This record gives sequence, structure tokens and C-alpha cells, in this order.
Amino acid sequence: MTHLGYIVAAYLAAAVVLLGMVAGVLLDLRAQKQKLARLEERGMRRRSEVPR
Amino acid sequence: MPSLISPLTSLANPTRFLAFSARVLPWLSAATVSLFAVGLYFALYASPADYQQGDTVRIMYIHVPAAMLAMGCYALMAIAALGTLVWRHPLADVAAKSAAPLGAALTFLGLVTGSIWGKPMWGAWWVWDARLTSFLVLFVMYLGLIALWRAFDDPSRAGRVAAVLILVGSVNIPIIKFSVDWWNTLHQGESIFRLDGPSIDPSMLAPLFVMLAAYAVLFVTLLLAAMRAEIFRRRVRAVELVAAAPPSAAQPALQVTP
Repeated sequence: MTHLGYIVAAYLAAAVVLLGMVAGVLLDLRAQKQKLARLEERGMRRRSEVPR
Repeated sequence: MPSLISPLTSLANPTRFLAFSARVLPWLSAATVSLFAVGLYFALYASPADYQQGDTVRIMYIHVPAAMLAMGCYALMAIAALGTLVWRHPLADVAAKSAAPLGAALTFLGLVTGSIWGKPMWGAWWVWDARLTSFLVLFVMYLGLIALWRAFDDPSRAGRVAAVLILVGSVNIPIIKFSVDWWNTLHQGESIFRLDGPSIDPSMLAPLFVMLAAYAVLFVTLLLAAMRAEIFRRRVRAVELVAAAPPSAAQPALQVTP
């Protein structure tokens, strides 16, 4: 009673979901960092970062 | 306890949090990979087959941690919701918003692996028993919260509304936990955290705890990274708001260099 197909399917599902979580977070982090860097390159700053 | 509270309150500053998370993330990533390597070795190879379920019991090592973390994530969001509403902690709403997609993914994984485990053991992919149904409700709640955060332009306003909904929904967590005790369910009863000790053999319990630790460290790692992304997203929004403000309002604050 090994049910190999079910075991493989469950582990594949886990791999897809967990790696998907990792990829989603890392891609979002990179995108936000790049967006902020682009704005700062153009000289734009948040109010709190502008020297008085 | 000033020694404990002081570091926690200092992390309330997003800039300090960014510096702290940048330092710990490489270590957490390495710990995640190591724990998964050890956990999967035991889960797939070094742990014994169950005397009734055979090798199908190996699905437990990925199903149980996903389900426990899915519930733990919601409990963490409930604490963060209190932080938003009561203490107005600057990172509480960031933490709750960043945790929701992770919790939704873990709940989805718990549902899928449970279904795949249920078919050969129960003869059904799905039954409407109390444990499965309340866990499905948790998944729907996560999706609702994610949609709610996206429906508002102002993240702090969205955070307060979401915090109320999180606290209302937290009633589902004890229902999931005790559903197998309160109702007659096809899902098995509590077998790990019991007053009279775990009912699982130590040869299977040890790998289960290693996989639970792997999932937990992965969750913390991804939560910190997602919180960093959310802080950067809010900074982008703040910069764009300053840039979009009328010249008279933006003059003292906006500094655009050629």
C-alpha cells in the first residue's frame, strides 16, 4: 500500500506552492527596490528625507 | 522589562527594521535550506512507513506543517491587528498585510495536500466535515483580506479596516483547532499537542518537528522579506505623492535635482 502517485503529487504540490511563495516575495521585493531607486535617481525624495 | 522591550520598540522604526532584516535574512535563508534538507531526508527516506497507512504517511510531513503555519499566520495577524488598533505600531499593519498572502498560500497547500492524502485513506477527495470546512473558511478569509487591502488607495486606512476584520475572523482559529473534539469528524483527532502526550511514534514525530521548524523558519524569512517589500512600496507611494502635489505645496518638501 504505497500510493506512490499520491505521495509524488503531494510533494510536487508542496514544491510548487513553496517555491511560488519564495519567487513571488523576491520578485516583489526587487520590483519595489528598483522603483524607489529610479525615483531617487530622478532626485525625488520623501518629505522626511528632504534636508531642511 | 526594558531589556526586552527596548529592541522591540527600536524595530518599530521602519529604517531600523530594514537594517535589521537585511542583516538576519541571509542567516534565516541558510537555516531554511538546511532544515528542509534534513527534514526531507527523514520524511522521504529515513523515517519508517506507518503500519496502517504505509508510505502514504509521508504526506503528513508536508501537510501538517502547512496547516499549522496557516493557522499560526492568522494568529500572528490577529496580534498585528491589535498592534494596529491599540498601539498604532508603525509596522503592525505592514506585518499583517505582508503575512496574508503567505497564509493564503499555506492554507491552499494544506487543503491540496490534505485532499491528496484523503483520497487513498478515506476514499474521498473532500468531505464537508467540521475541520475541513472551517479550514476552507480560513482560506476564503485570507482571500477576502487580500482583496480588502487592494480595494483602498490609502494603506493606513485599509490597515485599520482590515485589522477589525482580522479580529472578527480570529474566532475561526479555535473552531479549526477544536473542531475534531467538538464534532464527530472524518478528520483524525489531535495527535501532537495533547495533554497526555503525542500519539505519534517518536520515529515519525522527530521528522515532523524538523519539517515544522523548516516551514516556520521559511515563513519568518518570507515574512521579513515581504515586509521589506511593503515598506519600499509605501516609500514609493510617499515619493509619488510628494511629486504629484501642487508646486506651492511641494516646494518646501520636494527636491528635484536635474
